[in-house]
Amino acid sequence: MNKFEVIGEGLADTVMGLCIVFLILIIIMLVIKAMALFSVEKKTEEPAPAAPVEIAAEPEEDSLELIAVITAAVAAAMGTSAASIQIRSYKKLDGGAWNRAGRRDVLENRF
Amino acid sequence: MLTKLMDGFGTFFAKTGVAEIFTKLTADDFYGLKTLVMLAIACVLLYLAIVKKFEPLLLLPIAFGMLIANLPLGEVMHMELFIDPHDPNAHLNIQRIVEEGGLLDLLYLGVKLGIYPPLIFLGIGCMTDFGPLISNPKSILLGAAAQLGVFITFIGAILLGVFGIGGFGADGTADTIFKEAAAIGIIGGADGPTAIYVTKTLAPSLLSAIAIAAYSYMALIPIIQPPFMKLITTKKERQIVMEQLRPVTKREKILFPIIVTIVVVLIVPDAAPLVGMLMLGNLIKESGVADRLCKTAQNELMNIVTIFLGITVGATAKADTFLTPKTLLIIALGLVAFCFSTVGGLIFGKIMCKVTGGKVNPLIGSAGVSAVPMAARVSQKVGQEENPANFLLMHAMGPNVAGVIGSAVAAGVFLVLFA
Repeated sequence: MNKFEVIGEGLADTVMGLCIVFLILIIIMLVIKAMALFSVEKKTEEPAPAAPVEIAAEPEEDSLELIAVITAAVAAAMGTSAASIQIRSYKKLDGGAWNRAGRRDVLENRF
Repeated sequence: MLTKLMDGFGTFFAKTGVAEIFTKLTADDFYGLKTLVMLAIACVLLYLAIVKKFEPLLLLPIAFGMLIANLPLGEVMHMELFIDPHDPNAHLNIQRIVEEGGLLDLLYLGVKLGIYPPLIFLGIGCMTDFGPLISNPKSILLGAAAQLGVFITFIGAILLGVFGIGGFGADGTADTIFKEAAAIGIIGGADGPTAIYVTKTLAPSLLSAIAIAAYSYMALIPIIQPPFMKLITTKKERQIVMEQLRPVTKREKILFPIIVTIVVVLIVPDAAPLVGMLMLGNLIKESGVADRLCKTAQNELMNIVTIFLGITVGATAKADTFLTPKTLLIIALGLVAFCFSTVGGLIFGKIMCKVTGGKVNPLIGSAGVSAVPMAARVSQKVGQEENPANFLLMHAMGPNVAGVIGSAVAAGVFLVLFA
Protein backbone atom coordinates (compact mmCIF):
# COMPACT_ATOMS: atom_id res chain seq x y z
CA MET A 1 0.00 0.00 0.00
CA ASN A 2 1.30 3.47 -0.74
CA LYS A 3 0.91 6.37 1.63
CA PHE A 4 -2.30 7.70 0.14
CA GLU A 5 -3.99 4.33 0.19
CA VAL A 6 -3.12 3.95 3.86
CA ILE A 7 -4.53 7.41 4.65
CA GLY A 8 -7.60 6.70 2.53
CA GLU A 9 -8.29 3.47 4.33
CA GLY A 10 -7.72 5.17 7.67
CA LEU A 11 -10.27 7.85 6.80
CA ALA A 12 -12.77 5.23 5.69
CA ASP A 13 -12.30 3.36 8.97
CA THR A 14 -12.70 6.60 10.94
CA VAL A 15 -16.01 7.48 9.28
CA MET A 16 -17.27 3.93 9.50
CA GLY A 17 -16.28 3.61 13.16
CA LEU A 18 -18.09 6.79 14.17
CA CYS A 19 -21.17 5.74 12.18
CA ILE A 20 -21.29 2.32 13.86
CA VAL A 21 -20.96 3.86 17.32
CA PHE A 22 -23.81 6.27 16.55
CA LEU A 23 -25.91 3.56 14.93
CA ILE A 24 -25.69 1.25 17.94
CA LEU A 25 -26.39 3.99 20.46
CA ILE A 26 -29.33 5.25 18.36
CA ILE A 27 -30.78 1.73 18.33
CA ILE A 28 -30.38 1.55 22.12
CA MET A 29 -32.08 4.96 22.41
CA LEU A 30 -35.05 3.80 20.34
CA VAL A 31 -35.34 0.63 22.39
CA ILE A 32 -35.33 2.61 25.65
CA LYS A 33 -38.03 4.88 24.27
CA ALA A 34 -40.11 1.88 23.27
CA MET A 35 -39.58 0.40 26.71
CA ALA A 36 -40.78 3.62 28.34
CA LEU A 37 -44.06 3.39 26.44
CA PHE A 38 -44.72 -0.03 27.94
CA SER A 39 -43.86 0.94 31.47
CA VAL A 40 -46.09 4.04 31.55
CA GLU A 41 -49.30 2.03 32.07
CA LYS A 42 -47.63 0.07 34.83
CA LYS A 43 -46.61 3.23 36.63
CA THR A 44 -50.14 4.10 37.79
CA GLU A 45 -50.20 1.01 40.02
CA GLU A 46 -46.70 1.16 41.40
CA PRO A 47 -46.14 4.52 43.11
CA ALA A 48 -49.08 4.12 45.50
CA PRO A 49 -47.47 1.79 48.08
CA ALA A 50 -44.19 3.72 48.00
CA ALA A 51 -45.64 7.06 49.14
CA PRO A 52 -46.75 6.32 52.76
CA VAL A 53 -43.41 4.74 53.61
CA GLU A 54 -41.62 7.98 52.94
CA ILE A 55 -43.84 9.94 55.30
CA ALA A 56 -43.47 7.39 58.05
CA ALA A 57 -39.72 7.41 57.66
CA GLU A 58 -39.46 11.17 58.26
CA PRO A 59 -37.68 11.58 61.61
CA GLU A 60 -39.40 13.47 64.38
CA GLU A 61 -37.32 16.44 65.47
CA ASP A 62 -36.21 16.46 69.03
CA SER A 63 -36.56 20.11 69.99
CA LEU A 64 -34.31 19.89 73.05
CA GLU A 65 -31.54 18.44 70.98
CA LEU A 66 -32.10 21.08 68.32
CA ILE A 67 -31.91 23.87 70.90
CA ALA A 68 -28.66 22.41 72.23
CA VAL A 69 -27.20 22.40 68.74
CA ILE A 70 -28.32 25.97 68.04
CA THR A 71 -26.90 27.14 71.38
CA ALA A 72 -23.56 25.54 70.65
CA ALA A 73 -23.46 26.99 67.11
CA VAL A 74 -24.33 30.52 68.31
CA ALA A 75 -21.76 30.30 71.12
CA ALA A 76 -19.09 29.13 68.72
CA ALA A 77 -19.88 31.92 66.26
CA MET A 78 -19.87 34.60 69.00
CA GLY A 79 -16.82 33.20 70.70
CA THR A 80 -18.42 32.91 74.14
CA SER A 81 -19.28 29.89 76.23
CA ALA A 82 -22.60 28.13 75.81
CA ALA A 83 -23.50 28.81 79.44
CA SER A 84 -23.65 32.59 78.88
CA ILE A 85 -26.40 32.50 76.25
CA GLN A 86 -29.94 31.29 76.32
CA ILE A 87 -32.11 30.44 73.34
CA ARG A 88 -35.61 31.71 74.11
CA SER A 89 -37.26 30.96 70.79
CA TYR A 90 -36.33 29.92 67.29
CA LYS A 91 -38.14 29.93 63.98
CA LYS A 92 -37.31 28.19 60.73
CA LEU A 93 -36.89 30.65 57.86
CA ASP A 94 -37.32 29.84 54.20
CA GLY A 95 -33.81 31.16 53.67
CA GLY A 96 -33.16 30.18 50.08
CA ALA A 97 -29.58 31.36 49.89
CA TRP A 98 -28.34 29.51 52.96
CA ASN A 99 -30.15 26.31 52.04
CA ARG A 100 -28.73 26.47 48.57
CA ALA A 101 -25.21 27.14 49.83
CA GLY A 102 -25.52 24.24 52.24
CA ARG A 103 -26.81 21.86 49.62
CA ARG A 104 -24.07 22.89 47.25
CA ASP A 105 -21.48 22.36 49.91
CA VAL A 106 -22.72 18.85 50.63
CA LEU A 107 -22.86 18.01 46.91
CA GLU A 108 -19.37 19.25 46.27
CA ASN A 109 -18.00 17.25 49.16
CA ARG A 110 -19.70 14.07 48.07
CA PHE A 111 -18.68 14.00 44.43
CA MET B 1 41.66 -13.67 56.52
CA LEU B 2 41.18 -9.96 55.85
CA THR B 3 41.83 -10.31 52.14
CA LYS B 4 39.35 -13.17 51.98
CA LEU B 5 36.75 -10.98 53.65
CA MET B 6 37.48 -8.14 51.22
CA ASP B 7 37.21 -10.55 48.31
CA GLY B 8 33.89 -11.77 49.63
CA PHE B 9 32.55 -8.22 49.83
CA GLY B 10 33.98 -7.52 46.40
CA THR B 11 32.21 -10.40 44.70
CA PHE B 12 29.01 -9.65 46.58
CA PHE B 13 29.13 -6.00 45.53
CA ALA B 14 29.71 -6.94 41.92
CA LYS B 15 26.44 -8.86 42.00
CA THR B 16 24.34 -5.96 43.35
CA GLY B 17 22.10 -3.72 41.30
CA VAL B 18 24.23 -0.71 42.26
CA ALA B 19 27.26 -2.21 40.55
CA GLU B 20 25.13 -3.22 37.57
CA ILE B 21 23.95 0.36 37.09
CA PHE B 22 27.36 2.00 37.47
CA THR B 23 29.44 -0.51 35.54
CA LYS B 24 27.01 -0.33 32.64
CA LEU B 25 26.27 3.39 32.98
CA THR B 26 26.94 4.05 29.32
CA ALA B 27 27.51 0.47 28.15
CA ASP B 28 24.85 -1.80 26.67
CA ASP B 29 23.07 1.06 24.92
CA PHE B 30 23.17 3.29 28.04
CA TYR B 31 21.64 0.59 30.26
CA GLY B 32 22.62 2.26 33.54
CA LEU B 33 21.45 5.75 32.63
CA LYS B 34 18.19 4.47 31.18
CA THR B 35 17.54 2.49 34.34
CA LEU B 36 18.08 5.58 36.47
CA VAL B 37 15.66 7.56 34.27
CA MET B 38 13.03 4.82 34.56
CA LEU B 39 13.39 4.78 38.35
CA ALA B 40 13.00 8.55 38.41
CA ILE B 41 9.84 8.37 36.27
CA ALA B 42 8.42 5.70 38.57
CA CYS B 43 9.07 7.93 41.57
CA VAL B 44 7.41 10.92 39.88
CA LEU B 45 4.35 8.77 39.17
CA LEU B 46 4.31 7.61 42.79
CA TYR B 47 4.41 11.27 43.85
CA LEU B 48 1.49 12.10 41.52
CA ALA B 49 -0.50 9.17 42.90
CA ILE B 50 0.18 9.72 46.59
CA VAL B 51 0.52 13.49 46.96
CA LYS B 52 -1.53 14.79 44.03
CA LYS B 53 -4.04 11.91 44.28
CA PHE B 54 -4.11 11.22 40.51
CA GLU B 55 -6.31 8.10 40.26
CA PRO B 56 -4.28 6.61 43.13
CA LEU B 57 -6.10 3.26 43.06
CA LEU B 58 -4.48 2.50 39.73
CA LEU B 59 -1.57 4.85 39.36
CA LEU B 60 0.00 3.73 42.62
CA PRO B 61 0.28 0.04 41.70
CA ILE B 62 1.28 1.00 38.14
CA ALA B 63 4.10 3.21 39.37
CA PHE B 64 5.30 0.62 41.87
CA GLY B 65 5.21 -2.10 39.23
CA MET B 66 7.37 0.13 37.07
CA LEU B 67 9.77 0.66 39.97
CA ILE B 68 10.36 -3.00 40.80
CA ALA B 69 10.48 -4.12 37.18
CA ASN B 70 13.27 -1.66 36.43
CA LEU B 71 15.53 -2.37 39.39
CA PRO B 72 18.45 -4.22 37.79
CA LEU B 73 18.93 -7.98 38.21
CA GLY B 74 15.57 -8.31 39.97
CA GLU B 75 14.03 -9.77 36.83
CA VAL B 76 10.51 -9.86 38.24
CA MET B 77 8.93 -9.48 34.81
CA HIS B 78 10.03 -11.36 31.72
CA MET B 79 8.52 -9.57 28.75
CA GLU B 80 10.43 -11.87 26.39
CA LEU B 81 8.02 -14.64 27.40
CA PHE B 82 5.16 -12.59 25.99
CA ILE B 83 6.56 -10.71 23.03
CA ASP B 84 8.82 -12.49 20.59
CA PRO B 85 10.91 -9.73 19.00
CA HIS B 86 11.38 -11.77 15.84
CA ASP B 87 7.75 -12.65 15.32
CA PRO B 88 5.23 -10.27 16.93
CA ASN B 89 2.32 -12.45 15.86
CA ALA B 90 3.64 -15.62 17.48
CA HIS B 91 1.30 -17.53 19.75
CA LEU B 92 1.75 -17.34 23.51
CA ASN B 93 3.78 -20.22 24.84
CA ILE B 94 1.79 -20.80 28.03
CA GLN B 95 3.82 -23.87 28.98
CA ARG B 96 7.02 -21.82 28.98
CA ILE B 97 5.41 -18.96 30.93
CA VAL B 98 4.24 -21.34 33.66
CA GLU B 99 7.61 -23.09 33.86
CA GLU B 100 9.91 -20.07 33.73
CA GLY B 101 7.72 -17.19 34.84
CA GLY B 102 7.50 -15.67 38.29
CA LEU B 103 4.74 -13.89 40.18
CA LEU B 104 4.30 -10.95 37.83
CA ASP B 105 4.55 -13.07 34.69
CA LEU B 106 1.71 -15.26 35.90
CA LEU B 107 -0.37 -12.27 36.95
CA TYR B 108 0.32 -10.61 33.59
CA LEU B 109 -1.44 -13.52 31.90
CA GLY B 110 -4.66 -11.92 33.16
CA VAL B 111 -3.88 -8.82 31.10
CA LYS B 112 -2.52 -10.69 28.11
CA LEU B 113 -5.53 -13.00 27.86
CA GLY B 114 -7.95 -10.11 28.41
CA ILE B 115 -9.30 -11.29 31.76
CA TYR B 116 -8.84 -8.30 34.07
CA PRO B 117 -10.54 -5.47 32.12
CA PRO B 118 -13.86 -7.34 31.77
CA LEU B 119 -13.76 -8.24 35.49
CA ILE B 120 -13.30 -4.56 36.33
CA PHE B 121 -16.23 -3.80 34.05
CA LEU B 122 -18.29 -6.30 36.06
CA GLY B 123 -17.62 -4.25 39.18
CA ILE B 124 -18.30 -0.98 37.38
CA GLY B 125 -21.62 -2.43 36.20
CA CYS B 126 -22.55 -3.15 39.81
CA MET B 127 -21.81 0.45 40.76
CA THR B 128 -23.49 2.16 37.80
CA ASP B 129 -27.01 3.50 37.84
CA PHE B 130 -28.34 3.74 34.31
CA GLY B 131 -31.50 5.44 35.60
CA PRO B 132 -30.62 8.96 34.35
CA LEU B 133 -29.92 7.53 30.91
CA ILE B 134 -33.16 5.54 30.77
CA SER B 135 -35.23 8.54 31.79
CA ASN B 136 -33.58 10.77 29.17
CA PRO B 137 -32.74 8.41 26.29
CA LYS B 138 -31.52 11.08 23.89
CA SER B 139 -28.59 11.81 26.19
CA ILE B 140 -27.10 8.52 24.97
CA LEU B 141 -26.22 10.30 21.71
CA LEU B 142 -23.84 12.56 23.62
CA GLY B 143 -22.01 9.43 24.71
CA ALA B 144 -21.54 8.60 21.03
CA ALA B 145 -20.49 12.12 20.03
CA ALA B 146 -17.82 12.16 22.70
CA GLN B 147 -16.06 9.27 20.94
CA LEU B 148 -15.00 11.83 18.30
CA GLY B 149 -11.58 12.13 19.96
CA VAL B 150 -11.00 8.38 19.59
CA PHE B 151 -11.39 8.50 15.83
CA ILE B 152 -9.69 11.89 15.27
CA THR B 153 -6.64 10.65 17.16
CA PHE B 154 -6.76 7.37 15.25
CA ILE B 155 -6.47 9.19 11.93
CA GLY B 156 -3.90 11.58 13.40
CA ALA B 157 -1.68 8.71 14.51
CA ILE B 158 -2.02 7.13 11.06
CA LEU B 159 -0.79 10.35 9.46
CA LEU B 160 2.20 10.43 11.82
CA GLY B 161 2.90 6.78 11.05
CA VAL B 162 2.66 7.24 7.29
CA PHE B 163 5.12 10.11 7.31
CA GLY B 164 7.43 8.27 9.68
CA ILE B 165 7.16 10.66 12.61
CA GLY B 166 7.68 9.25 16.09
CA GLY B 167 8.37 5.71 14.94
CA PHE B 168 4.81 4.44 14.70
CA GLY B 169 4.44 1.21 12.79
CA ALA B 170 8.14 0.53 13.28
CA ASP B 171 8.26 -2.27 10.74
CA GLY B 172 6.67 0.08 8.22
CA THR B 173 3.70 -2.08 7.31
CA ALA B 174 0.27 -0.50 7.11
CA ASP B 175 -1.07 -3.18 9.43
CA THR B 176 1.11 -2.15 12.40
CA ILE B 177 0.36 1.52 11.77
CA PHE B 178 -3.39 0.85 11.94
CA LYS B 179 -3.08 -1.30 15.06
CA GLU B 180 -0.96 1.18 16.98
CA ALA B 181 -3.13 4.10 15.86
CA ALA B 182 -6.26 2.32 17.09
CA ALA B 183 -4.68 1.57 20.48
CA ILE B 184 -3.62 5.20 20.87
CA GLY B 185 -6.97 6.56 19.70
CA ILE B 186 -8.89 4.59 22.29
CA ILE B 187 -7.26 6.73 25.02
CA GLY B 188 -9.89 9.30 23.98
CA GLY B 189 -12.57 6.98 25.31
CA ALA B 190 -11.35 8.06 28.77
CA ASP B 191 -11.82 4.52 29.93
CA GLY B 192 -8.80 2.73 31.40
CA PRO B 193 -9.95 -0.91 31.21
CA THR B 194 -11.13 -0.47 27.61
CA ALA B 195 -7.83 1.13 26.59
CA ILE B 196 -5.89 -1.73 28.21
CA TYR B 197 -8.13 -4.34 26.59
CA VAL B 198 -7.60 -2.91 23.10
CA THR B 199 -3.89 -2.26 23.53
CA LYS B 200 -2.98 -5.70 24.83
CA THR B 201 -4.49 -7.13 21.65
CA LEU B 202 -3.37 -4.62 19.05
CA ALA B 203 -0.11 -3.10 20.33
CA PRO B 204 1.19 -4.87 23.46
CA SER B 205 4.50 -3.01 23.47
CA LEU B 206 2.67 0.30 24.00
CA LEU B 207 0.63 -1.01 26.94
CA SER B 208 2.34 0.82 29.78
CA ALA B 209 2.55 4.17 27.98
CA ILE B 210 -1.11 4.05 26.94
CA ALA B 211 -2.33 2.96 30.38
CA ILE B 212 -0.34 5.70 32.10
CA ALA B 213 -1.59 8.33 29.62
CA ALA B 214 -5.21 7.20 29.98
CA TYR B 215 -5.23 7.19 33.78
CA SER B 216 -3.30 10.44 34.13
CA TYR B 217 -5.62 12.35 31.81
CA MET B 218 -8.68 10.89 33.54
CA ALA B 219 -7.35 12.41 36.73
CA LEU B 220 -6.81 15.70 34.90
CA ILE B 221 -10.35 15.95 33.51
CA PRO B 222 -11.31 18.76 35.94
CA ILE B 223 -8.44 20.79 34.45
CA ILE B 224 -8.71 19.76 30.77
CA GLN B 225 -12.44 20.16 30.24
CA PRO B 226 -13.58 23.53 31.71
CA PRO B 227 -11.65 25.77 29.25
CA PHE B 228 -13.29 24.02 26.29
CA MET B 229 -16.67 24.14 27.98
CA LYS B 230 -16.42 27.90 28.41
CA LEU B 231 -15.00 28.44 24.94
CA ILE B 232 -17.65 26.51 23.03
CA THR B 233 -20.83 27.32 24.93
CA THR B 234 -22.34 30.77 25.50
CA LYS B 235 -23.09 32.12 28.95
CA LYS B 236 -26.80 31.89 28.21
CA GLU B 237 -26.53 28.22 27.22
CA ARG B 238 -24.60 27.40 30.38
CA GLN B 239 -27.41 28.86 32.47
CA ILE B 240 -30.11 26.61 31.03
CA VAL B 241 -31.97 24.74 33.76
CA MET B 242 -33.08 21.31 32.59
CA GLU B 243 -36.42 19.69 33.38
CA GLN B 244 -36.43 17.23 36.23
CA LEU B 245 -35.86 13.62 35.17
CA ARG B 246 -38.85 11.30 35.37
CA PRO B 247 -38.59 8.41 37.82
CA VAL B 248 -37.61 5.13 36.21
CA THR B 249 -39.42 1.90 36.99
CA LYS B 250 -37.63 -1.14 38.29
CA ARG B 251 -38.77 -3.12 35.27
CA GLU B 252 -37.03 -0.69 32.89
CA LYS B 253 -33.84 -0.86 34.91
CA ILE B 254 -33.84 -4.66 34.76
CA LEU B 255 -34.65 -4.82 31.05
CA PHE B 256 -32.02 -2.23 30.10
CA PRO B 257 -28.85 -4.33 30.61
CA ILE B 258 -30.42 -7.32 28.87
CA ILE B 259 -31.46 -5.30 25.83
CA VAL B 260 -28.16 -3.40 25.55
CA THR B 261 -26.22 -6.67 25.65
CA ILE B 262 -28.33 -8.18 22.89
CA VAL B 263 -28.15 -5.10 20.64
CA VAL B 264 -24.42 -4.42 21.06
CA VAL B 265 -23.16 -7.99 20.89
CA LEU B 266 -25.32 -8.83 17.86
CA ILE B 267 -23.76 -5.95 15.92
CA VAL B 268 -20.21 -5.82 17.34
CA PRO B 269 -19.40 -9.30 18.68
CA ASP B 270 -15.88 -8.26 19.70
CA ALA B 271 -17.33 -5.89 22.31
CA ALA B 272 -18.96 -8.89 24.03
CA PRO B 273 -16.46 -9.37 26.90
CA LEU B 274 -16.54 -5.70 27.92
CA VAL B 275 -20.20 -4.84 27.35
CA GLY B 276 -21.36 -8.28 28.46
CA MET B 277 -19.62 -8.08 31.83
CA LEU B 278 -20.65 -4.44 32.36
CA MET B 279 -24.28 -5.35 31.80
CA LEU B 280 -24.07 -8.55 33.84
CA GLY B 281 -22.83 -6.46 36.77
CA ASN B 282 -25.66 -4.00 36.28
CA LEU B 283 -28.26 -6.76 36.04
CA ILE B 284 -26.95 -8.32 39.26
CA LYS B 285 -27.41 -4.95 40.95
CA GLU B 286 -30.79 -3.99 39.49
CA SER B 287 -32.40 -7.41 39.82
CA GLY B 288 -31.90 -7.18 43.58
CA VAL B 289 -31.91 -10.97 43.90
CA ALA B 290 -28.15 -11.47 44.16
CA ASP B 291 -27.05 -8.84 46.61
CA ARG B 292 -24.07 -10.87 47.80
CA LEU B 293 -22.66 -11.19 44.29
CA CYS B 294 -23.10 -7.48 43.78
CA LYS B 295 -21.12 -6.67 46.91
CA THR B 296 -18.29 -9.03 45.97
CA ALA B 297 -18.07 -7.82 42.38
CA GLN B 298 -17.88 -4.15 43.28
CA ASN B 299 -15.61 -4.50 46.31
CA GLU B 300 -13.36 -7.50 46.86
CA LEU B 301 -13.19 -8.83 43.30
CA MET B 302 -12.65 -5.42 41.75
CA ASN B 303 -10.00 -4.46 44.31
CA ILE B 304 -8.05 -7.68 43.78
CA VAL B 305 -8.17 -7.31 40.02
CA THR B 306 -7.17 -3.65 40.25
CA ILE B 307 -4.02 -4.56 42.18
CA PHE B 308 -3.07 -7.32 39.72
CA LEU B 309 -3.81 -5.13 36.70
CA GLY B 310 -1.96 -2.08 38.01
CA ILE B 311 1.24 -3.78 39.06
CA THR B 312 1.59 -5.88 35.91
CA VAL B 313 0.78 -3.05 33.52
CA GLY B 314 3.37 -0.94 35.31
CA ALA B 315 5.91 -3.74 35.13
CA THR B 316 5.67 -3.85 31.33
CA ALA B 317 7.33 -0.41 31.24
CA LYS B 318 10.89 -1.38 30.42
CA ALA B 319 13.46 1.18 29.33
CA ASP B 320 13.91 -0.15 25.80
CA THR B 321 10.21 0.15 24.91
CA PHE B 322 9.25 3.02 27.21
CA LEU B 323 12.10 5.49 26.78
CA THR B 324 11.35 6.26 23.15
CA PRO B 325 9.95 9.33 21.39
CA LYS B 326 6.87 7.20 20.83
CA THR B 327 5.96 7.39 24.52
CA LEU B 328 6.10 11.19 24.50
CA LEU B 329 4.01 11.23 21.34
CA ILE B 330 1.47 8.87 22.92
CA ILE B 331 1.18 11.20 25.91
CA ALA B 332 0.65 14.14 23.52
CA LEU B 333 -1.84 12.27 21.33
CA GLY B 334 -3.71 11.17 24.44
CA LEU B 335 -4.27 14.80 25.34
CA VAL B 336 -5.45 15.52 21.79
CA ALA B 337 -7.87 12.61 22.09
CA PHE B 338 -9.31 13.89 25.37
CA CYS B 339 -9.73 17.41 23.99
CA PHE B 340 -11.50 16.28 20.83
CA SER B 341 -13.78 13.97 22.80
CA THR B 342 -14.76 16.87 25.03
CA VAL B 343 -15.33 19.13 22.01
CA GLY B 344 -17.33 16.43 20.20
CA GLY B 345 -19.67 16.05 23.15
CA LEU B 346 -20.07 19.80 23.60
CA ILE B 347 -20.81 20.47 19.93
CA PHE B 348 -23.42 17.73 19.88
CA GLY B 349 -24.80 19.18 23.09
CA LYS B 350 -25.19 22.54 21.33
CA ILE B 351 -26.96 20.86 18.43
CA MET B 352 -29.35 19.15 20.85
CA CYS B 353 -29.89 22.46 22.59
CA LYS B 354 -30.93 24.07 19.29
CA VAL B 355 -33.10 21.15 18.19
CA THR B 356 -35.00 20.93 21.48
CA GLY B 357 -35.48 24.71 21.61
CA GLY B 358 -33.18 25.32 24.56
CA LYS B 359 -34.22 22.44 26.81
CA VAL B 360 -30.78 20.81 26.88
CA ASN B 361 -27.84 22.45 28.59
CA PRO B 362 -24.87 21.78 26.26
CA LEU B 363 -22.56 21.47 29.27
CA ILE B 364 -23.77 17.90 29.81
CA GLY B 365 -22.18 17.02 26.44
CA SER B 366 -18.66 17.07 27.81
CA ALA B 367 -19.73 14.38 30.29
CA GLY B 368 -20.03 12.01 27.33
CA VAL B 369 -16.41 10.97 27.87
CA SER B 370 -16.74 7.92 30.02
CA ALA B 371 -14.70 8.91 33.08
CA VAL B 372 -17.44 8.25 35.65
CA PRO B 373 -18.28 10.29 37.67
CA MET B 374 -15.55 12.95 37.24
CA ALA B 375 -16.80 14.22 33.89
CA ALA B 376 -20.37 14.58 35.17
CA ARG B 377 -19.09 16.37 38.22
CA VAL B 378 -17.22 18.85 36.03
CA SER B 379 -20.45 19.61 34.12
CA GLN B 380 -22.18 20.19 37.45
CA LYS B 381 -19.47 22.54 38.70
CA VAL B 382 -19.19 24.64 35.55
CA GLY B 383 -22.99 24.87 35.33
CA GLN B 384 -23.25 26.00 38.91
CA GLU B 385 -20.67 28.73 38.43
CA GLU B 386 -23.08 30.41 36.01
CA ASN B 387 -26.28 29.67 37.84
CA PRO B 388 -25.92 28.62 41.49
CA ALA B 389 -29.44 27.15 41.54
CA ASN B 390 -28.71 24.77 38.67
CA PHE B 391 -28.15 21.09 39.36
CA LEU B 392 -26.87 19.37 36.23
CA LEU B 393 -25.30 16.37 37.95
CA MET B 394 -28.03 13.81 37.30
CA HIS B 395 -28.57 15.10 33.76
CA ALA B 396 -24.85 14.74 33.10
CA MET B 397 -24.79 11.18 34.48
CA GLY B 398 -26.85 10.08 31.46
CA PRO B 399 -24.22 10.94 28.82
CA ASN B 400 -21.53 9.86 31.27
CA VAL B 401 -22.70 6.25 31.54
CA ALA B 402 -23.56 6.28 27.83
CA GLY B 403 -19.90 7.16 27.24
CA VAL B 404 -18.87 3.87 28.87
CA ILE B 405 -21.06 1.97 26.41
CA GLY B 406 -19.86 4.19 23.54
CA SER B 407 -16.17 3.64 24.17
CA ALA B 408 -16.67 -0.11 24.59
CA VAL B 409 -18.42 -0.14 21.21
CA ALA B 410 -15.61 1.91 19.64
CA ALA B 411 -13.14 -0.60 21.09
CA GLY B 412 -15.17 -3.43 19.58
CA VAL B 413 -15.10 -1.73 16.18
CA PHE B 414 -11.30 -1.45 16.29
CA LEU B 415 -10.98 -5.09 17.33
CA VAL B 416 -13.24 -6.23 14.49
CA LEU B 417 -11.22 -4.22 11.98
CA PHE B 418 -7.66 -4.91 13.09
CA ALA B 419 -7.37 -7.88 15.47
